[in-house]
Amino acid sequence: MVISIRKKADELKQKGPDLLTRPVGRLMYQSIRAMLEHIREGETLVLDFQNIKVIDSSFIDEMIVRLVLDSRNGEIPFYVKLKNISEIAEINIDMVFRSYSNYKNKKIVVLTENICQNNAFFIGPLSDREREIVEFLRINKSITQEDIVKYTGSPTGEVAGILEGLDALRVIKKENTGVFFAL
Amino acid sequence: MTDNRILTVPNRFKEPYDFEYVIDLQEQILGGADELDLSRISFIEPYSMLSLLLIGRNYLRKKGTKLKLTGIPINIHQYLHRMDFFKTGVFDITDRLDEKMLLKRSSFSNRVLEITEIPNKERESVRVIGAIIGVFRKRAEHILKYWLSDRIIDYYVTVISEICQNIYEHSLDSGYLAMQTYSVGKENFVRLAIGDSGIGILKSFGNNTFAYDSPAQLIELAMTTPISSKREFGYGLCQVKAIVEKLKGTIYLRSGNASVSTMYQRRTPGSSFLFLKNDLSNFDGTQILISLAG
Repeated sequence: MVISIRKKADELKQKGPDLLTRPVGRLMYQSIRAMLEHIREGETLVLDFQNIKVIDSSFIDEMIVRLVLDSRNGEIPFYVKLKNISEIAEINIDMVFRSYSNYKNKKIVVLTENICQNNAFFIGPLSDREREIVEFLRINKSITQEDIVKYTGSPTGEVAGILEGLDALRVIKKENTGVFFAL
Repeated sequence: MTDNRILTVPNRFKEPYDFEYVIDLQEQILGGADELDLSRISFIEPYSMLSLLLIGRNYLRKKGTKLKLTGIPINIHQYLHRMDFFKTGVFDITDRLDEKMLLKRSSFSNRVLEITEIPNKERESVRVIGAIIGVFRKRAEHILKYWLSDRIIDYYVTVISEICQNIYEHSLDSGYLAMQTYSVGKENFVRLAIGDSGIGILKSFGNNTFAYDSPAQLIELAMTTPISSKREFGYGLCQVKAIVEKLKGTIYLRSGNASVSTMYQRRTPGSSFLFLKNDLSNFDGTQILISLAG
């Protein structure tokens, strides 16, 4: 499912290029939640921010953080990916995600369609090894645990733990066959 | 003091640190004066202007009458009029300038954001913030003339939004915003001032159990960790600090009787460059100045 945030903002009478404040974030969240009634289990929700310039931390907290948490904890698990994020939006999302992860002791990360300033395709605090695996998977589309063990040279147990963790973060997809897929 | 009721204000409106001398006089103003003589003032920057406005509003609320401003030098009067200072209706101005003497809203208009009241109600405030951002985006190429890039405009949109939201979220009072770019000698400044006379940061965190040694340290915590008095996390001030750090600007944040200043343009590796001050004269609410110089 692809949602144009610009179109949604217009529907919600937010005409400017910026999406700011908690009330606007809550409005946007509620509007997107209503559409998620139709999402399939395991589907990727792409939020397209084309023509949106600034989103501030309040908006991010009320909208993106809640959607990412819903994707993990809701009745129907899904995946979230961001597209066409502006430089300032990326900086603001990164700051909110890092603060949340540090102080809640619970990581929050989101994948992106476009390359970010960290030279990767995600925003949030992944470790170097996690980042390596996410990038490896993005290039190879699907992998097994053994592929990663060979690629990184890390022990099987450690790799299994990292893959489970990334799956729980909803940044990779694990199929019942034990194969992992990129979003 | 030239008599019991007229207070001559010192020429201390050039920097927030300097304005402390005026805040020190607040007890005299609120206690006995009914007229402020501004004849000694040669320059007034946005933070000092907003703080003077807050003093006037406190006076009006306390006494039920308007504080009289007299002896305003022509250039200061022109500037205050241009910034909509008198439109707030807080002061009694008997000596009006002739219409011909007032500054026209021409090219100079583009270099300022006039004083705008930020309401303390969420819905109205969100509308006002949207309007301020709209005007800022239109004038940004002039206001940020010496620093201009799309990136810096977007940074400032974030900063304005984050600080203004703190007013209706935490202060329990309305506040004001003003912004201006100006030159002194060869140096150019852009200054964004936002202030309120609400409950302040210390009282806002009254029921929380964060460990801190002094009011200034609590302000520092609010700027460096995502603490909030209302919800699990509050990112606003941290975000503002991070952006000003990127821009190598300065922040002066004063609340109650404490202040924190940062001077990132002078920062050296390994130093925090946060300066904490306690035991200042009490001034209700929270006032922030964000400056860039270059």
